[in-house]
Amino acid sequence: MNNEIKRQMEKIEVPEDLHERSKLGIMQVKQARKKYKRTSGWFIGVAASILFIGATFLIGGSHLTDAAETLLVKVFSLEEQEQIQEGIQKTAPDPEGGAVEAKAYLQQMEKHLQFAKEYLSPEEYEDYSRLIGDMMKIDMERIENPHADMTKLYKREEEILQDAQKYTDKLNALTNYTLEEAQEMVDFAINRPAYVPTGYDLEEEIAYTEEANPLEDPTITIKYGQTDGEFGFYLHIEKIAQDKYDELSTYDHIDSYELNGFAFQHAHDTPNVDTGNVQAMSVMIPGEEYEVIMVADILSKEEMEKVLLSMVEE
Amino acid sequence: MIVINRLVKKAQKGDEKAYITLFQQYEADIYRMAFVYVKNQEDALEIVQETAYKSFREIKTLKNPEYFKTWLIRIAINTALSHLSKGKKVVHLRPEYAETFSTNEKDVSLQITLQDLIERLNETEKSVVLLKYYEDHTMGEIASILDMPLGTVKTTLYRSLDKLRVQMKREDMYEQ
Repeated sequence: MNNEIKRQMEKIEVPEDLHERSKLGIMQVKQARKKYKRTSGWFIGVAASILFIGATFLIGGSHLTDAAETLLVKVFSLEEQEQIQEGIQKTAPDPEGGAVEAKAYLQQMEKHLQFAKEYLSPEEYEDYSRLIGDMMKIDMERIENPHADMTKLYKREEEILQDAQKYTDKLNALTNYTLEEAQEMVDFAINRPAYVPTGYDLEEEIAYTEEANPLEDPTITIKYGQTDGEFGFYLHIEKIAQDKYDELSTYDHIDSYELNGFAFQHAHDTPNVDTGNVQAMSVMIPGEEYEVIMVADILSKEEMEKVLLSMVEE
Repeated sequence: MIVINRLVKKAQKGDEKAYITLFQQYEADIYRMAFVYVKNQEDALEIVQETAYKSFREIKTLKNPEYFKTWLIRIAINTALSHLSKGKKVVHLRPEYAETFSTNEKDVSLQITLQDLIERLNETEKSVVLLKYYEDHTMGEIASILDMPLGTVKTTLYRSLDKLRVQMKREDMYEQ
């Protein structure tokens, strides 16, 4: 019986892109963490970013009206752009959606180059844009040869990231702020949690804006870690937007409810006795288009509610 | 086991390359199990991807690395069931797949096709059969993984095998 069922199961053919999809799921965690870290540069691999933080790249209905006149074409030829679009379409779960996101990705790259050109010196921009082109070539290689030796690609990627660090640091400084600077951009009070669970210390706090609007709509991240341990939690205060990466939607269950007059959402996976309970929770800031999102490794639902209430209650 | 534990420890510190190496050892199994639930390649791939995502997100809190595979399979099954409940659509196995899976076994007691497994069993029955015969878990382990009383696991297994028109071996009937 044992062998017969196994034999039958082995008849299910494993698709060629299985490993690539596994890697993408794992890289998605890494990229989601990086999104709120913003210290290691702007570069994000196509395979990891466009398909799974794809919403970030959906920019209205705009398109590059004259591709030959763009900054992008100087570091990534039209032929290469078409190639990468085809590659993304082929590997996307939904080819039509993949085409849309591939175009949006190129638009975002172009906008980033425009931003970089404005704030870097000509020599800095020349070097930086070349590095962006090199990174995009690695992405293309990864998409076209999913079974290639990734060790070498990772190594090259690390080298490019290191070389670009000085430029990305300079550009990030234009969009990175302190909490006090971010406070000046909004009409509501940005509060650090008045309640912090015992055994946790503040590790990091940072605010940043998007390149498209460097002085508006900041996102604030506050991170806590255990004094003696590896676990922690982080808080994001960010503007609610339809096309933003939705942390809570990645969990099995989302419950919406009201607590002390505030609108809460609690997201969690189906319980698993072998692990702690990574959970997410959000609360809307009344009267504003902002919410606070919390992700915690091992805190209880009640502890999370206390932390969030301490940020929104007077 | 030592290699797995080492990879788990590295992954728990955020080493995604270690986790990719670790997950790769189980991805085919997870894909095939997912396929049994959702009956099509694209949804099965999505479940694999989601399982990879969720498990790496939560690996830091895995208390016992030696139970990594059991923990991972549990996440995969929950992800598949969650996927089905969100989709709420009925998918029938495509005819071309059914032809691939048919068997010409002459032994009546072992006359089981993958099509039977996929089409005749409900989600709970699939979980029990896959965990028992594809992943080689004991009834007790299955009860723990599915958070189900042992008696229910046994009843579900017998019903499933009945649906699959299979005669059990003696040891299967009395095994704990």
